Formats: sequence, structure tokens, C-alpha cells
Amino acid sequence: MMSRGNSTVGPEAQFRANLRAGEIRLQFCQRCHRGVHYPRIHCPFCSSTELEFRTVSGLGTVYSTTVELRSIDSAGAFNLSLVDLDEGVRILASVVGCDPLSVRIGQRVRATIGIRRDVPVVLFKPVAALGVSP
Amino acid sequence: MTDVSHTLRGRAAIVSAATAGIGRVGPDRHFMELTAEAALSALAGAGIPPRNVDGLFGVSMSRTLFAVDFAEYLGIDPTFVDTTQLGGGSFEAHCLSAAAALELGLCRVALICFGATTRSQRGPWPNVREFDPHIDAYQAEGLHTYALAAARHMYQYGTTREHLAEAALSARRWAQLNPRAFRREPLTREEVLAAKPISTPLTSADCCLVTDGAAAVVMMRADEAAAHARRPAYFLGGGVALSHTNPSQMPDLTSTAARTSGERAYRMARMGPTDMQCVQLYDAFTINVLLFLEDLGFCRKGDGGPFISDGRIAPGGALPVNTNGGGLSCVHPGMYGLFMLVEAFEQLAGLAGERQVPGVGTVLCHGNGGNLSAQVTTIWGSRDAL
Repeated sequence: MMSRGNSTVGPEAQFRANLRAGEIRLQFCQRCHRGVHYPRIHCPFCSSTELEFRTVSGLGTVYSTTVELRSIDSAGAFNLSLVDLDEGVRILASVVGCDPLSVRIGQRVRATIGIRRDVPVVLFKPVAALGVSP
Repeated sequence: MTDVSHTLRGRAAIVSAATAGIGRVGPDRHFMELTAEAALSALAGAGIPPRNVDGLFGVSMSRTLFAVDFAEYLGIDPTFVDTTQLGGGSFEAHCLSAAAALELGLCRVALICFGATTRSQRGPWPNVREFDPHIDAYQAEGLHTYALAAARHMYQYGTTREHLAEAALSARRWAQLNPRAFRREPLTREEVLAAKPISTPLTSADCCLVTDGAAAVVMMRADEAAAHARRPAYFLGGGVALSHTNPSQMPDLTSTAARTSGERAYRMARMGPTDMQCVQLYDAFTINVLLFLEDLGFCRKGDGGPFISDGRIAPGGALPVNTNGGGLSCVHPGMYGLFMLVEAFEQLAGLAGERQVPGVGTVLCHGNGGNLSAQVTTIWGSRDAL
């Protein structure tokens, strides 16, 4: 007998599909109410499998930041930051739309969606730079 | 769960250790040759024929089936194998499982080995993970986690570039006492502070070397060790702790799982940081030295910079740290953990030459892997420490 695959969409694919549709939706646990990112099939804090995707404010604070300077001659310097969203979820991403060296720990940023390596991803821009095209 | 870990304290020992090809061996040496050279040398040091190896431990950066390949290369038929891959500190974890396997009689001669020609082959390191969009889409690499940790440590505790420089300068001073170390030329504070930026706040002086090199250690049951070594290095304790892969999953970037792995190892050894007379810390980056000294209880959280600033961990200091010159100045072929174990053995065996810590009776070896992800603490002692 031919086996059939399960064709349901996993949380990772759902997260990317939401980004592709222009929506930043993160998982929250319905039992312990904590945010879960990256997307998973269960809550790593309480093991509940009741996770739901919710739209987030996108507002957050830079927890730490670094600027990669090795490739400055070729690809240019780029920023990598850990951002704590106001909803209590920490995300590894880049802060764009500003001088990468100007990003500071404690700075307020807002999430946006961009494409990196052909993948839709969450990026952040300084709150003051909103509306300015990168 | 029954805690039987205490039964491993003092039950196994390193009886011999060796390195091969530290530095640059050129394009005409294969990493399996280097690995075998270290293994044969370590076995010869213990007077053990290679065919007697029945426990094989280790990992390779380029061979997923390393144990299969290396058993074939050596011509051995191991009855127990562990090639757990935790990154550069894997080998400290192998010591824990080797001690358990020896105690249970699953093997009698445990060989732990590693080799790589990372400097000579010059190609990109093999990618052992598929594309992870949460990391790789942002071009995030291992070193960026260390940079993010350093930036946060500076922000939170006032740590400075000068503090980080102390770790690099101490390592170089130890390397100058070690004829096998790759970088032995004098290094000044000014040179360290003027080094090329890599990923803020880290510069090239904060990053470990990229060298070639192989290492091997042989472990046996303690009651058999005395027949194979004049001064075995007894296994007193070991602990593993895993915290994250993606740095976003690390709750506090200034506090690593070394705190937990250290507690586990100290508990097994029935010892604490004040009992450690010599310390080997996986210094892939200068910030590691500060983080691990803090997390393993040698100073308070955040005080790592000031703690090392008076030459305390350099030759002649109160706490000898990374006495071979470390990953920063001695050797780092992509994975460094096994070289620390070689150094621990040589220190306890009194074979460390100019860099010998006088009368040393205990050594802590702390391995780190991935993005500050996997922490493995081991504690070793002379017969007097048993």
C-alpha cells in the first residue's frame, strides 16, 4: 500500500507564509501565555501544544547589537541585533535603515519585513527612522 | 532519579596524551594522518598497542562517520564508541562518557582523538547544519553570538576593551613558555587594542587562532592507570549543560550554562572553585575567559574584567589560566577542547616544562561549543586529590 504524507502546514512554514503575506505573527502559548519564537509544535516552557499565532505590535528594544565588519570591502558592514519585543519575545535580526554602527543597546525599534537570502524575514528599523526607505 | 554520578569520582584517569602538527603542516598532510599520529603517540606513551584500544571517542569537523573511518584507519575493533558532537567542547563530554564506560566495563582502553588541517586546507569550514532561516538568513555565524555577549557584558557591567585585551595578553605570555604554541612573538597592549575590527566590539586579537593540529588522550580505569603512567590525571568530576543554539534563546547573554555544568562537575568532584589550582577555559574569544571565570565561580558575575586585570591569570599570577597559551595563542584547528585535556594531563604529570605550575594537584578543564551553546566542565586531579 502506498503511504500518504501528511500535508498539514507546520508552524515554521505558517510563520513564513504570514511574512510573505505582510503579517508578523508570532506564537503564544494558550496555557502559560508566554511568547514562543522561533515557531514550534509545542511550548518549550510548559510543553503545551496549544500555541496560536498572534499579530504583535512590532515594537521592541535592542538587547544587544554587533556590526560585522570583515566584509566591509565587499558586501558592506551589516548589523545583527537581539531585539526584545514588548510582548516578551526575543528575536535575532538585523536593524536596518540606519548606519549599522549607530545602533545602541536600549534603543527602540519597530519590526518590518524584508527578504534575506530569498527568505522573508523580520527586520527592525529605528523608531525615529520609520517611513524612511532603506 | 538516582544520582549515581558520585561513583565516577576518581574511578578513571588519563594515562597518556599527545599532540601532532600544531600550527601549519602544509597541503601535503591529511587530517587523518595527523589524528593517527597523535593517537599512536599517546598510545606509545602509555605502552599500549593500538589493537588494544576498545573504546573510541572523538569527533571530526569533516567526517560525520568519524568513528567508523578512524577505526578503519587505525585497524581497531572497538566495543564502545561515542562521537557525540557538541562543538569544540565535545571532548570534555567524551571524558565523562569514557569514565562511565570504563567503570561499567564496556571498554578498558578509551582513546579520545581529534585532528584537522584547517589552516592548511584554506577552504571554507564544512557546513554541518542545513540552512536555518532564523540564523543563516541574517548571515549570523558563531562569532556573532560572542560579539553580542561581549557587547551586552560591556553595557551591563562596564567591561572594557582593555579588560578583554588582558585575556589575549595573558594567553600570549603563557604561549611564550610553550614551544608547541603557534603564536609566541611578543604582543603589546597597544597592538591588541589596535587590532582589525571583526564584529564589534571584537577584533582579530579577541578571536582564536585558525591552525592545524591533532590531539589524543588515553583513559583507563584508575586501578589500571598506575601500570601505564607514572602520574595519571584522575577524573574527579564532569558536567554537561546545554542552553540554546539561536542566541535569541539564551535568557541572559552575560551568563552561560557553564554555571550549571560547573555545579554538576563540582558536585561530582566534591570540590569548588577555590580547590582549583590550574584552569583551562575554552577561549574561542577573549570574552569567554571572563564569562567562564564568572560562571564557574572564580569571581562574581560581571567582575571578570577587573579580576584578570592585575595579571592574575598570566604566568606568575595567583590563578594560572590557559597555561598552554589557549585557543588565542597556542592552537585552534576549529575545535580546541581536546588540547585543553592534553594540557591538564601534562600539568598534573609534571611534563609542562617552562610553563609548569609548581606542585599543581587539581586542574579544571572547561569546554564550550557552538554559540556559547554547550558547556562541559571536567575536573582532574593528581593521586593526592583523590
